[in-house]
Amino acid sequence: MADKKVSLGKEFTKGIIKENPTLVMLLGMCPTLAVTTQAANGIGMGLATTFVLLGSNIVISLLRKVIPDKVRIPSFIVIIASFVTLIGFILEGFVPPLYESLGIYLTLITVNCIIFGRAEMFASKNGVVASALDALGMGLGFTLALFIMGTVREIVGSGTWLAGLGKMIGTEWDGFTIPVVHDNPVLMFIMPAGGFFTLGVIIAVVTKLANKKPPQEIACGGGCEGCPHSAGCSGESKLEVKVEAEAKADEKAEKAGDGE
Amino acid sequence: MKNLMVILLAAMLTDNFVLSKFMGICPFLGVSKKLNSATGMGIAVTFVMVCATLVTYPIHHGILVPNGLEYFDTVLFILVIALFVQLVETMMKKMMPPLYKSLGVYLPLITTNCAVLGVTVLNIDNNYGFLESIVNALGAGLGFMLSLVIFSGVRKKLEYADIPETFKGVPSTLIAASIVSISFMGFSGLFG
Amino acid sequence: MKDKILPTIVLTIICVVAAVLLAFAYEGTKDSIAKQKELKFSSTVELLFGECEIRMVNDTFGVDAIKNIAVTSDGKTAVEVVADGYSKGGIDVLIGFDENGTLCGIEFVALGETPGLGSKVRDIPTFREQFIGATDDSYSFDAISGATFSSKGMKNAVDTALKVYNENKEAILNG
Repeated sequence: MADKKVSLGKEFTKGIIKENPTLVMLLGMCPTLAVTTQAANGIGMGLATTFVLLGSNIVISLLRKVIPDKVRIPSFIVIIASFVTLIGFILEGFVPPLYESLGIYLTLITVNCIIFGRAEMFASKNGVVASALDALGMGLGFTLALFIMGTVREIVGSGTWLAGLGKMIGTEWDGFTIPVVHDNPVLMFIMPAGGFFTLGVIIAVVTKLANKKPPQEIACGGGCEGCPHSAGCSGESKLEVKVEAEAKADEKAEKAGDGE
Repeated sequence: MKNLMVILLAAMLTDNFVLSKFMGICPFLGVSKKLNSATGMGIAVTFVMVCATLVTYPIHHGILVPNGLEYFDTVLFILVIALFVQLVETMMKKMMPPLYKSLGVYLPLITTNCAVLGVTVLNIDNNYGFLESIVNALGAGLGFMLSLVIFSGVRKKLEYADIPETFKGVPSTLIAASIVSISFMGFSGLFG
Repeated sequence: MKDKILPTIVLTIICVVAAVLLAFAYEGTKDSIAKQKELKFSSTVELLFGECEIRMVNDTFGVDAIKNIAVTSDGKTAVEVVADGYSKGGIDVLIGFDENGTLCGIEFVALGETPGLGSKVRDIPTFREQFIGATDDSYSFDAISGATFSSKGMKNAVDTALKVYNENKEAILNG
């Protein structure tokens, strides 16, 4: 019993630091770069994603024995997209400033690799409680990463911190103003280029602190459907393995054809 | 005609999906190590973007809008893209084996490429007409390919560079992407 | 046979259930969404004219860029225009005309322009002031450096509002 509790706790905490989806596993890069011009947007995006992740993980875990393997991917997609539409309604109806600032990236939560990856790797194989905890942990880890990114970019790029957060929760408070930087902001940091730069440096710092070698390649070769086996999968090498396998299969088929 | 040219070039250069809209970052970083896989991925994405637009546009304007069901956009679009990618893969395998051999492996990776869903949703958001939507999708795809091809060149050089240990791998790749992105900012004055 | 039909059935059921639940969610949040939009609009009108009673004009006179037109009880008009800045549809402004048809103020409903660059059109007060007093498009105009696209977008928005207001003044004011 005690063991079980420990392992459930682990499902929750692993996503926050050790297996942080963004900074360690390098998933969900698009929203990480796109919405983090302000720390408040990062928090909002992180929480919205956590909501979708929690919902989809619970539903998929509940349905894991009902969904046939063949239609697994479309089923997951429909479930995830429904939750995204739902959070869209909620935000538009109750937190319009956040809805506006996330814009199209709210819709694009649907194709966030983290959500699809967790569905494939975890929720479709584990119980409801574990899946929910996994979702919460991963979601919070993602939120944390976005918050760090947003903080760096907002402070350096526009000389404010948490501007806009007050508006989202319905107060007048408009964040902190950072002296000196506010009058001479480094605009590059809120431009796209600054996003890439900041993320690169943050990943380098995190790997240095964790005393590991920096990740050499993006985890899943550019698509989440590669994720299920992501332990052994890394970018092109996986693609090439697949190409070779297909070529061999073709050869076999040809040989079989010759034999007839 | 001028309008279509502007949409095409804007989607390719000024509003490049990868470098200024941050869509499709995973394949951008994951599949840009070699020139031929970058080209292959680029062609496959362009193809799927244009085809997906061909399907999603009539769905939105022909079925959803008349019935006041616009809020099903996300669910239907992603489903269409997923089914479409599957369909293309199967058809290509059966009917055009040589093409499948060179592009086939990239296809399953495209469903969850946010640039594809992104372009179909943007076409609707921007109120583009049918032809404009197609041109926008084409431009987005070509722009995606362009940034992948350029970046594969940069990465090749990067392999021989002497980088501090902590920055080797992904961090240096991201910083290189940042510099490529700066160079694309130069296009921003293109349409005055 | 069974393993061909079963997956299809399961997928269909999932789709139908998801669709029904979404429809319910839509119905449930619809009013709240409409209320938020109204609130946003009326609070911006208040910024423009102070507290007042407004009547919506249910016509955009065939111009896509016009989103809403409202007239106050004392004959002032607010025209909401969406224009392209650096980002498509990035400028959403409310342009106010006083009872004589002179442009008397501009307020932002939403601004999707780059913070620190394009957002200067909102944050530098003198930029907005140059439009005030205009009755047609013959006012003098200076773009903000570093925010050329956003400045041009603002000019477009103002020109559109002026044109639509001048051409349809009677229809707007008399409802």
